[in-house]
Amino acid sequence: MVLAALPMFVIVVLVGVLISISFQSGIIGTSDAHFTLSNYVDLFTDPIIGEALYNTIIFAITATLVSMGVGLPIAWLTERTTMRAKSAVYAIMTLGLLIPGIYTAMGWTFLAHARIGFLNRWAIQFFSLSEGPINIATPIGMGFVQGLSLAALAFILTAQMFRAMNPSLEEAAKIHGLGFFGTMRRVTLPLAMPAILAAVIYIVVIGIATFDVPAIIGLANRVYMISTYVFEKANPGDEEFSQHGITAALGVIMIGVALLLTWWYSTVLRQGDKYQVVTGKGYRPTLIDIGHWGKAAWAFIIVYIIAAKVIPLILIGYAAFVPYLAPPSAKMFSLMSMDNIMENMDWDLVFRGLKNTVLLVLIVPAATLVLAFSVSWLIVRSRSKARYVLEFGAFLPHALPEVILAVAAILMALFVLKDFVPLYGTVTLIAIVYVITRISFATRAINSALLQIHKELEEAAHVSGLSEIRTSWRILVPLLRPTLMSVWIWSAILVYRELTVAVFLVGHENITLPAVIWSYWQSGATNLAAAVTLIMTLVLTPLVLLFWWFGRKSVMSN
Amino acid sequence: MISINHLMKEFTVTDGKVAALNDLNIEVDPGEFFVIVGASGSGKTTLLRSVAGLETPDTGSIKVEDRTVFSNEPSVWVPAQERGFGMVFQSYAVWPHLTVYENVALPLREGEQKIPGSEVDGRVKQALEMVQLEEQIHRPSTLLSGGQQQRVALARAIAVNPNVLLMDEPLSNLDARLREEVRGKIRDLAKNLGATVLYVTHDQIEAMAIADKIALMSFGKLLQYGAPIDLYRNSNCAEVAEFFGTVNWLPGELDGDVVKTKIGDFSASQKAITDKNVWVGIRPEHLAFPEESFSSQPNHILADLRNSIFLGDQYTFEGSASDSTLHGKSRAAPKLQGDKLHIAVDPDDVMIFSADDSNTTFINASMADN
Repeated sequence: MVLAALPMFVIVVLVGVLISISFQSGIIGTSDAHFTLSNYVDLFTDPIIGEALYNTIIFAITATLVSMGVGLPIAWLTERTTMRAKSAVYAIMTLGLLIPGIYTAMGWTFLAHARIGFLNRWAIQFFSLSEGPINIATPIGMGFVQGLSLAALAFILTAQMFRAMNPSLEEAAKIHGLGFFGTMRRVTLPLAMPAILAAVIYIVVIGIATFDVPAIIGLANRVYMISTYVFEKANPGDEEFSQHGITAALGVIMIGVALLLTWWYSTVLRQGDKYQVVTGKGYRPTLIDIGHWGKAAWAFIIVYIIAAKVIPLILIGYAAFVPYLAPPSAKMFSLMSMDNIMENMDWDLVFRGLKNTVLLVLIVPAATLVLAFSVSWLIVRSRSKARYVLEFGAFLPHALPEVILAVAAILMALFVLKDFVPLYGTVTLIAIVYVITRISFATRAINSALLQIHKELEEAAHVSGLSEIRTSWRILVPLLRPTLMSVWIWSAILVYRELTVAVFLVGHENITLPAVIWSYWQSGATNLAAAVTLIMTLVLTPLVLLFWWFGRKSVMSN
Repeated sequence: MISINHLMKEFTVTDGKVAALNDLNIEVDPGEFFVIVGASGSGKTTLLRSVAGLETPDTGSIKVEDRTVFSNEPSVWVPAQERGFGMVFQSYAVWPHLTVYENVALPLREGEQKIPGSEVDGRVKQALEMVQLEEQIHRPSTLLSGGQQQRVALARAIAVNPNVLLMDEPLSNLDARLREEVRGKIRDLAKNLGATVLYVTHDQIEAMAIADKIALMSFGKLLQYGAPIDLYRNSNCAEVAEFFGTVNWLPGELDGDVVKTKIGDFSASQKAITDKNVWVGIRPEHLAFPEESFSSQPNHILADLRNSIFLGDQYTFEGSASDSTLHGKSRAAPKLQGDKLHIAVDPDDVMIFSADDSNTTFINASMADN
């Protein structure tokens, strides 16, 4: 009970601190602070905020269009047509989820940056242009990159819907004379609409709040989004003070917007149920024969994989071994060496980052599991009214942008805990925020697994004399093991590659490996950043394979 | 052995509160096979789970062998794991990640009853022998058939040597033929162990076949409890009478020793009723065809025969007299005297109930359904 309430308590306190500080100015956290609306006034009169808002909207729309444009057709092809090797599509798309957005962002910077991008350099060379035709550092360019990286998610979200759709509805349309496109337009798409809309909202929410892609591509070029604007206000450089009041005010507004969108999302999902598209278990939809078009479908998938994953990874590998960035050429290949890794890299820093990251990977998933298990057990099994509160509480961090949670955590450490509990700049603070951000995913996965375990299995243990703890340990944990394992590994991978919260919270001592990449990247040492990324990938690969191994056995793979 | 006093429990539902247990008082004797029967939603499972400790009643008390396991005044609550009962669940609740042996052994090893480790093996084997599962002892429980899983659940429940054995519809997931076979075995097993059994089912035939005593529940209330034959022959209200079999209902007026109805007079051997307005109830199997010719006397009726149907082991038929229809069942074909059916009913088989609100409401609803 205490364990279950803990994450919720932390979230409520964080949001409370954020709201309270958004109304303070002066020296916050002391008696000199006074209550005022000036933070909100300053925020709305800041000329950059308008631009950031505009950029964010363009960015989110582009990201959504690209991700749905790629993910939705692949989902339909995989679930409803005779395309071949479907399990390979699932394998590729799940791996796609695991490859961090910063990889795609770095790769596409190398490829399409206005000045250094290889495509632009080649275009200038071949067509004698005065400047590069493509600029990735625009809201649309960044939206494209973000969309590539979110396409895997769009695929997962919509594939489930196509799988559950009752094919007799489409067959009825065919029998009554509608052709393929008629059926598609009049029956399939309208039926799928609520689920598609829900996926769109889900992705827009991520798009609005996402930090890593806008930070990697946009910050150096001074193209701001809301999330990177928050970062600039919180870390304005040496000559200025952090404007915590303004970041808090923006955070409060973002929480409002995110909650509104999340509420809309759940409303749309509920409306989707009224169509009764979902049928009973073990239902196999009839497949649409696409014949040779299956090859074209695979070509589409392969182009996506190359653009989103393969090229970025290859370019990062290339950049890691060359001294400066230039398009591949005989000269560049002759300059390739291990210097970045052996000589130029600050191994003290990398080791510190690696040590902290390993520490986080060991602590955070385990803590997340224990807390999420307690929350789930209470939500699914208890009859107390508290379960509704817990359900909402477990859902809340999902709705709150990570950027905002990170800001709230800084404010909390700086102005509330201060010296009593010195958390600022510690790994503990990062760990707390990580656990909070992972808990809704973990809770949901464990909820659905727990719902499948018949309550009488536990009751049989109680009646035959086993205590609550022993029942959990001997009955529930073994039955939930596949789910618990895949949640553990999934959280471990997400913690390992996490950049958003880390960028806000790290200092000299508690830096994480992704934050090392970020600091090299931000200081312009892109080749060193690529080299560290390469090292990080080498460590990540076994983890991903482990996930793959357990994922196959777990309920999550269904 | 088990004494339940003034037990109450309410559930909150969307439109208010529903009493799942409404002031229940039950006394179960040691070694008795006690069956709780009722339609779904009658509260029978809630009662069983309250005894098990899986459900907390609101008020009242439950005592088992002079130990109070629940009471609200003074407040007493013994958790399920400390009550030391055996229980067989409707889903069997055989732990799927354990083998047959481990399923039976886990409660012995890790339960509150603290069985010495050296005894565990012997007791597991003994329990599995009793349910004839010794051949499957090391099989994973997921590879068992439904009937075998049911026996694992039974072995697990009896392995702890419980004085009280609780069973929640243990036969409902078995197919019909197996059910009849297993219910006899369960009764024999319980009698051999000398355990007191509390057994829940919705099936009145199963209840009558297996019980020493039956308690019939409806909407949280205990309607009647007693030996099966008492509930069948001496039902205390129309609802009990009809639960254990179809009844022909006739409204009538008490006049001295007889009840006057539209189709004739009836007299019953036992009648404690003094109300003027009554209901006469006659079961279909109690309609007989006497040899002698019809003469107007109580319990004799002349009717038209309709819908006589041969069903192999029996005939069903309808006798119609002045707008009333009597449903009948007989081994022999209905025998006509001339073109009429002469029906007689033994006074022992005539049931008379007061036409009070609850009986009348129930009978009218039941007749509207047919």
